[in-house]
Amino acid sequence: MYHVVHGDVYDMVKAREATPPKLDTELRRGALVLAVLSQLRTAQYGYSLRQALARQGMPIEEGTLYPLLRRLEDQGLLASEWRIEDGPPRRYYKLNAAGTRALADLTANWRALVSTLNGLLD
Amino acid sequence: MDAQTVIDNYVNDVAALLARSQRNEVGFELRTLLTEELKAAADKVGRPPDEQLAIEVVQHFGQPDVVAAHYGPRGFALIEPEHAPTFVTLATIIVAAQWLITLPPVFRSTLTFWQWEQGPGLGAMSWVGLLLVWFAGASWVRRRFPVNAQTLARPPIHWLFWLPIPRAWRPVDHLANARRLAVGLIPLSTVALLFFSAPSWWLGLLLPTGTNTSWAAYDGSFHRWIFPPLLALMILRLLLLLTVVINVRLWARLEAIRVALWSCFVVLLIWVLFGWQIFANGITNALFKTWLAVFVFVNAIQLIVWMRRESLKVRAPAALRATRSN
Repeated sequence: MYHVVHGDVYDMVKAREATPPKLDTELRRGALVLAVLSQLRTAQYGYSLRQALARQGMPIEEGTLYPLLRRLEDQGLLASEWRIEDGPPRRYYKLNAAGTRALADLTANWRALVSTLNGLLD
Repeated sequence: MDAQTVIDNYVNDVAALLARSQRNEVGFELRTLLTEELKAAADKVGRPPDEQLAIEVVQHFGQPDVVAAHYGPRGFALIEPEHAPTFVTLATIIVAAQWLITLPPVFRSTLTFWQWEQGPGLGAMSWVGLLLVWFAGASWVRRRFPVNAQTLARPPIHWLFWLPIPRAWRPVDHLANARRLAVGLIPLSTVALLFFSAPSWWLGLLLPTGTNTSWAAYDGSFHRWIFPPLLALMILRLLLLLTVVINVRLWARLEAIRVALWSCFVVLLIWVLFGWQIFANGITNALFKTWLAVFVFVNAIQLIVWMRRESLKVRAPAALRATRSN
C-alpha cells in the first residue's frame, strides 16, 4: 500500500515496503533463543518475559515465546517452578547451570558474528 | 459467553491435543498466560475484557492444533527427504506398469472398467503402501542406528530395510572405464562379426564333417535386405572400437558418431526382432530371437543411461550462450 506523498518520503516508504518482511523475521528468529536466555538470569514467567523483551525492542509473539520456554526447559537449559504470589499461580523460568553455560557460549558466538558482519557490511 | 469461558474453552481444545503428561502443566500455564494477555489487551483498548476481545486474543495466539504442535515433541519424517524422489519415481513406475499391463482387457471389453478399478486398478496402490513401509522402516533404522560419520560404514541392521546411501565421492574416469570396456569388447565383437557373417559355414567348419548345419542358414529375405546394412554397422562399430587402442582422445572425439551408429544398430535390431524372420529354421529363429531380445534390452538400457548422463552435464546457461553468439 503506497501513501500519496511527494518526493523523498514517497520513495522512502516505497523502499521500506520493498524489503520482504520474511527476511526481517528470519533475521530476528536467529537471535530469538539468545534474547530469551539473556533475560532469564532472573526468574520470569512467560508474560513478564514477553513484556521485558518488548520494552527493550525485541517484541516476540506470545504464540512463539511460550512454547519456546517449554522447549528450552525440555532441552535442559531452564528450570521452572510454580509460584503463587499476588494473583493466579504462575510458572517461573530461570537459567540453570547448563543454560548459563549455553548463554555464555551463544553470547561469545554472537559477538564474533556481529564483529564479522560489521566488517562485511563496511 | 464471558471472556474467561472463552479462554477456558480454547485452553481445553489445545490441551486435548497434547500428550497426557503435558496436559495439566501446559494447560494450566496457558490459561494463566492468556488471562494476562487478555487483561493487557483490555487495558490497551480501555474497556473491560469481554467475549469478543477474548476471541481476538486466542485467535491471535494461534489455532489449537498449531499451538499444540509447538508444545509437542518435534515430528519425524516417515520418508527421508533425500529418498523422497526415489520413492515417488518407484511408486509411479510400479503403479504405471501395473495399470499398463492390466488395462488392455478393458479396451478389449473382456473386463469392465468397474471390475478393473476394483481389482488391479486400485490394487496397484497397495504397492505404494508396501513402498511406504519399506522406506519408513529404512528411515527408522537410519535414525536408530546411524551410519558411521567418518567411514560411512553401515551397521548390518541397515540390510533389513535396505536403501542406497551416498558413498564418499570419488572421481570416475569415464574415459579409462570406456577404454577398458572397449578393449574387452574388441575380441568379442570380432568373433561375433566373423561368426554371424556366415554361421552355417563356420559351423560346418567347426563341427564334424557331414553334420547338418542348414538349421543355421539365414532366411532369404533377411539375408538379402537386412543383413548387409547390419553387417556394415557391425564393421563400422568394430573399427570405431579399435580407435580406443590407437588413441583414446580420438575415440572420445568420435563419441557422437559412435553413439549415433550404436543407436542405429539398436533400432535396426529392434525392427529385426519384431518384423523379420532371421533364420530359415523356425526353432533356431525363436531361440536366437530370445537371445537377441536380451541383447537389445541391455543395449537399450545402456543407451538410455548414456543419454541421461549426457543430458545432466553442465553447459553454459542460455543467457550466456546468447551473449557469446552476439
